[in-house]
Amino acid sequence: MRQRSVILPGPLPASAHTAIIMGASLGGPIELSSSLLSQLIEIERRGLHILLVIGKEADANGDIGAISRYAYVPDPVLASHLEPVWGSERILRGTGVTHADAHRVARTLPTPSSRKLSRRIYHWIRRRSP
Amino acid sequence: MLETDSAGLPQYYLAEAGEPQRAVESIDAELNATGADFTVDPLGISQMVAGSGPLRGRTLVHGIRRLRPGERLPSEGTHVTTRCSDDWYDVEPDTDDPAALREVLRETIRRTPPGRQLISLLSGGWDSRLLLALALEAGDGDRLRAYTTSSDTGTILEELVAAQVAQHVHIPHEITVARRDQFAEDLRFFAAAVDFQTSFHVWLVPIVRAIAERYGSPAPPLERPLVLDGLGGGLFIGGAFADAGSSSDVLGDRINSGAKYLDGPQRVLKEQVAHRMREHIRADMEPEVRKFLDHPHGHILTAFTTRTWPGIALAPHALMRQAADPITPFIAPEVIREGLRIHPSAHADDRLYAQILSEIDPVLAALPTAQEQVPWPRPHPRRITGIEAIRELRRLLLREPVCELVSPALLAAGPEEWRTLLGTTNGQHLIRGLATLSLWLETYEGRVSGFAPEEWTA
Repeated sequence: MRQRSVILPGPLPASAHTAIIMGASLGGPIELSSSLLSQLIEIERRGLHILLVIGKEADANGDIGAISRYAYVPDPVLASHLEPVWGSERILRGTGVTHADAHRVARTLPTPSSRKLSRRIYHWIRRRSP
Repeated sequence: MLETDSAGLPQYYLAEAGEPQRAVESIDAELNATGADFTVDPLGISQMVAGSGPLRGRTLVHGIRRLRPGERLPSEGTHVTTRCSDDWYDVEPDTDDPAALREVLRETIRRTPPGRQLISLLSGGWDSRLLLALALEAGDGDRLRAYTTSSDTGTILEELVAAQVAQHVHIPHEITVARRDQFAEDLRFFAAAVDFQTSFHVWLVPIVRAIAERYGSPAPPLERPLVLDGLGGGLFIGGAFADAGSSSDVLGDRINSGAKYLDGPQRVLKEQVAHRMREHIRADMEPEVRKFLDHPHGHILTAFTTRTWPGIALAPHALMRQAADPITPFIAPEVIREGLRIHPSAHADDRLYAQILSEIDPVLAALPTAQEQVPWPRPHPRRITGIEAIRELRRLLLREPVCELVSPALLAAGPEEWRTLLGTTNGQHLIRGLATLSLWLETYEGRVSGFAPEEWTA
């Protein structure tokens, strides 16, 4: 089965739809390092989702929170607290904060526009146009 | 206190027919004055809703005007006369070499008042990067701090590239986030800051809030931070106003540029309203376009001279003034002059930026901008397409009398249709403009007269 979501920092297969960043309280990066920035730019150029897993409120703050498109917040109280800031459409709820939980939630996201079949065919044709 | 430019000259004035001209504090102060009686200017409204804002010194009302580039209001007492000195654009291109332009930029930055905190509005583009590099070269590193926020264009490349730049030059950098539930509040804050004359740059409000929070609001005059505002860079350094190379109708293209958000099928305004607005705007632009039609930098000069001073656009200059003092090096007269001395072909594709930067910071000169990497379709959901923004915008557009201008299909549409429309450049711009108009009419209800939808619908 093709890998649709990956945990950052880490390899980024061509089949990926979503890049997952674990919040700092869950062992993820504390800041935007130079290498993480380069990888995020590649992800953005490819039009993929960026999903931040938030264990504690502090995970949502700072530069990593500022550049994430969606937030997975297993704690329902924290999710309600963050909703006014992030907007209800960008907060994903669920249970569990393991990598497996994050991959499972990532599968519920819509296919990124850039990865839809019509757009991939369009890019394939453009790449082969003179 | 009069709203003034950096030289302390007033910016607003009353110009009633047959009356002596008089400098005034602000549009808001005049509209709120006892016995005030102003009527709306339909052309100013069309230009605000469908363009960047009222042009050629207009405001949304007759009688109150703003200065245009080249105009000055010598403030001798309260009675003033406008004096127009326009020899600064009487420059013919004679070089492709940006060396002299680089030097005047360096000199301009070196004149930045010392001792105050210096703020970079760092984006992923060239203008803020060049100003930052110049300030660092001038030895201002210890007092520099950079702020970035999302320009709500559906990508985070601006933030990511800005972070790359800040890391390279080792200055403190903060990415500020707009709260989704604060959209209505931000729109009101922005509209009031720019006297309701434009709807651009609402997205910058979070940075103003962050600056105010850090440095105090209002901070004492000598403690107010200085903001490096890249306004005008796209005109005099970059190629933002280069004519489309293959166009055979330069006159028509330039005239239409003031109404470009009305292009295409109309889904926001009633067809008749869009038609009237387009005709009003085009008729007003035509003499200005003809004035510079044969100049090698004609489009740039038209765009510049039809805007208002001190910031060309009313925002971000007026917005930033809520928390800081903006400085605008790219529209210093000597920078304009040297920018215009360079042939249009050398400005094309923004290539001058890298040439100027290569001597100051070769790494920044070679670092790709956000614009060079931007994906399509834009991957991130825009704040303005969020349900919180839709609720507020819909509320404002459904109000009388603005609803009389709006397409009945949009008035009846549900959130998903609004979301789709707000995801388009033209749709978003027109809806924001109408919302600003609605807020203006609400704020000054009973203080301005003569707003008649029939002006556009009849």
